Amino acid sequence: MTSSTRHGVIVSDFNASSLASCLKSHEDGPAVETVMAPFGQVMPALLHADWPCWHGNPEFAVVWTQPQSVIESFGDALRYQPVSVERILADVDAYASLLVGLRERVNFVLVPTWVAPSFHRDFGLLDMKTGLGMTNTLMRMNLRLVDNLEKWSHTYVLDSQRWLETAGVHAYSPKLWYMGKIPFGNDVFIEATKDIKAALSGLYGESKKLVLLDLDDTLWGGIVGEVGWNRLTLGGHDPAGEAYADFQRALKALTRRGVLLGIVSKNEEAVALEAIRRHPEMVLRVEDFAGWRINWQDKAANILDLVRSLNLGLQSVVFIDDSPVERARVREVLPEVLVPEWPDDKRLYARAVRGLRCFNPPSITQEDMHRSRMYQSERHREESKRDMVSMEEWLKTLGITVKVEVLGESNLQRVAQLLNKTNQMNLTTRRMPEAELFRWAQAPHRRLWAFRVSDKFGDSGITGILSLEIQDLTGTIVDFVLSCRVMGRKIEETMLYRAIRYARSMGLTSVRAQFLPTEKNKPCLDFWLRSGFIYRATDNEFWWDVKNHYPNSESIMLDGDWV
Amino acid sequence: MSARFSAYTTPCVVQKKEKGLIRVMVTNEKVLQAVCNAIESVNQLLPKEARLGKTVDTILMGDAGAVDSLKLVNLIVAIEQEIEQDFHVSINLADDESMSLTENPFATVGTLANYVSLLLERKSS
Repeated sequence: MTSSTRHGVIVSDFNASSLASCLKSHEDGPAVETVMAPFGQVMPALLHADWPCWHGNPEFAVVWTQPQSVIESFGDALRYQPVSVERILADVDAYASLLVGLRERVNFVLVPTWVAPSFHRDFGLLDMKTGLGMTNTLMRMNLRLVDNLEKWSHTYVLDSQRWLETAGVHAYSPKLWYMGKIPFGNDVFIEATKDIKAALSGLYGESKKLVLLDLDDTLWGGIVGEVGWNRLTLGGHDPAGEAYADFQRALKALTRRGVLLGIVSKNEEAVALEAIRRHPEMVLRVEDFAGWRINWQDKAANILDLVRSLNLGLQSVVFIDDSPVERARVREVLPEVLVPEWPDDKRLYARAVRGLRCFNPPSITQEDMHRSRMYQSERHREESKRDMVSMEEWLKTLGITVKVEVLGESNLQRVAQLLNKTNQMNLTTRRMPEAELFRWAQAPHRRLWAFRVSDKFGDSGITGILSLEIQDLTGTIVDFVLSCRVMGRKIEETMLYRAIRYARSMGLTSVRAQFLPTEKNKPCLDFWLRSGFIYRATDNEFWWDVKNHYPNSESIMLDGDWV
Repeated sequence: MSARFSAYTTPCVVQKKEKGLIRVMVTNEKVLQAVCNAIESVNQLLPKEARLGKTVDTILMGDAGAVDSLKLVNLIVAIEQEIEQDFHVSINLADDESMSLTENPFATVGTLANYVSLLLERKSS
C-alpha cells in the first residue's frame, strides 16, 4: 500500500457498520478509516456541519440511503398514497442540494444509487408504468439525482445496482434487516467497498495509466513467430478469434479514457509489428501503442525500461500476460506493478479487463482522449532528435508554441487533473480537488496560469501550471507543475519567464519558491538547481531578484497574454 | 454424556475430557464445514486482527468471546444461508429457544455446530 490513509464519514439510514468494517479491512486500494454519522439520522447529519462525525477534517463522505427514508413522498407512494412523480422529483432536488452542500465539509461525496429489493413486486405488471410503478419512479429518481449532482465536481454517484447483481440471491437479506437493520447481504458491502476504494484511488490521482500487454495467446491466439501473422487466431467466425477481437476492443476503449497501451513481448520485433500492421482483424494498430519492447530480454527489465522511457511510474502500470510464469516473475521483481490474475480461458479476457477497477480517473479531458497520439508524436520527435547536433538546434526545429491561459471554467478540469497526477516535475506536490483549487485561485492576491504546449508534431494540450501568491512585494511560486511529456524542452524556463515578467509588471521585488521533496520529484529539484535562481539549501528555497529579467528560450514562441 | 450440553447434544457430537477441558468433537463434518464457511464469509468483512477462528474450540461469546452484536447477527444469517444451501433446510438460529437455553449455543464454534445439528435433526424427524 503506497497511499496514506483516507478518512471519511458514512451517512446512512441503515446500519452501515459492515461497510465501515469492510472499508477498513479490505486490503486493495488506499487504507480507509471511517466514522459513522448517528444511525438513521441522515437529514440532521447532512444539515449540521457541527456534528461530531464531521470533526477531524474528513476527506470524503459516503451517503448511502434507502429511497423511502430520505424522500418522504416516495415512501408515501410505496404505501399506495396518491403522489405525483413531479412532487417526488422535487423532493429529490431538495435532497440533492443537501448533498451538494457537503462540499464545505469534505473533498468528495460518494452517493450510491437508490435500489429496491428484486422481490418487491407489489405493483406487478404495472411496475414500469409511469406515475404508478415503483421501479419506474425509482429510475427517474436516480436519474434526477445524477442530473443534480453531475454539475458538481465533488459529487459522484455510484451504481449500486451492480453490487446487488454481483451479490446475487442474497443481495437483500430480510433476516439481516429485522435482526440488525442491515438491508444488504455481506457480498453487497464487499462489492461496494471495492468500488468506493477504486473511486478514492482515482480521485486522489492513483488511477492506473498504462496497460502493458503480452502478444502471443494474449492479444491474439497462436505464436506469431511460428505460424506467421496470417495464421493467428483473431476475429472471424470463431469463438476464440472473436474473443481476442473483443479483448482488443475493450483495450481500445480504455485508450479513449486516457489509458495508454504498451507491448512487452518475447518475439522478433519486425515479425510482431508486421502482424499488428497487416492482420486484417487487428482492432489495435501500431498507433494505439505508446511504446513497446519486443525482444528476447527479461520482461521485468523490459517493463522497467519502457515505463521509464514513457516518463511514468511503475505504480501506474498494469501488466497482462497469459503466462503465469511471466506474471509471477513481474510480481516478484516489480511489486509496484499491478499484475492481475488472468483467466486461462481466452473467452473471459474481455470480461477480465473490463472488470478491473483500477482505471478511475475523476474526469476525462481532451488530452486524455488523444494521449496515445501524443506519445506517437513523441516517438517522432525522438526520431527527429537523433539527426540533430545540439539540443538547442533540435528544439528550434520543433517549432514549439506555449500559450498561457488564466484558470477558468474551460480549463479547470484539466488543470486539477494535472495538479493531482503529476509527480516528477512538481515543486510542492500539492493535491486539491477542482472546486477547492478554483476557490483558492480566485483570491485577489493569487494568480494561477495554465500553459498549453504544441509543436509541429502535435498539440500536447495543457501540460504546465504555475501559481503565484503575492504578499507585500514578494511573489511566492506555490505550484510549479509540468507534465513529464514535455519536460526538458525549455517549457520550464518559459514558465519562470512568465512568473518573473508578471512580477516585474506588478512592481514586486522578488520571487521565491520552496521545493518540498517527495520520493518522485527529484527531476524538479534538478531543474530548479540549474534555473538560475539563487538557492538556499538549508530550507530548499530558491530566490530571484525581480530587477533582473528572466530570459526565455529562443526556440519557444509565445501565445496568449504574456503581459 | 455430560449434563452440560444435554439441552441440545445430538448423537453426532462426542465430548471428551482433555487437559481438564471438555472438548467438543463435532463428528458431523458437513455441519461443521457449513459453520466454518459462514465464519469465512463473515471474516471477509473484518480486519485481520478481528477475524474469527474456525476451530471447534474457538470461543465466540462469553468473557473471552470475539463476537460483538454485529458479528453475531452476520454469523447467524451466514450459517442459516449455508445450511439452506447445503442441506436445503431452513433453520432459525435466533428464535426464542436459542436465547433461552441455559447453556449458550453460541459459546464456541463447536457448541454452535452442535446446535445447528440439533435443529437439523429435529427438522428431519
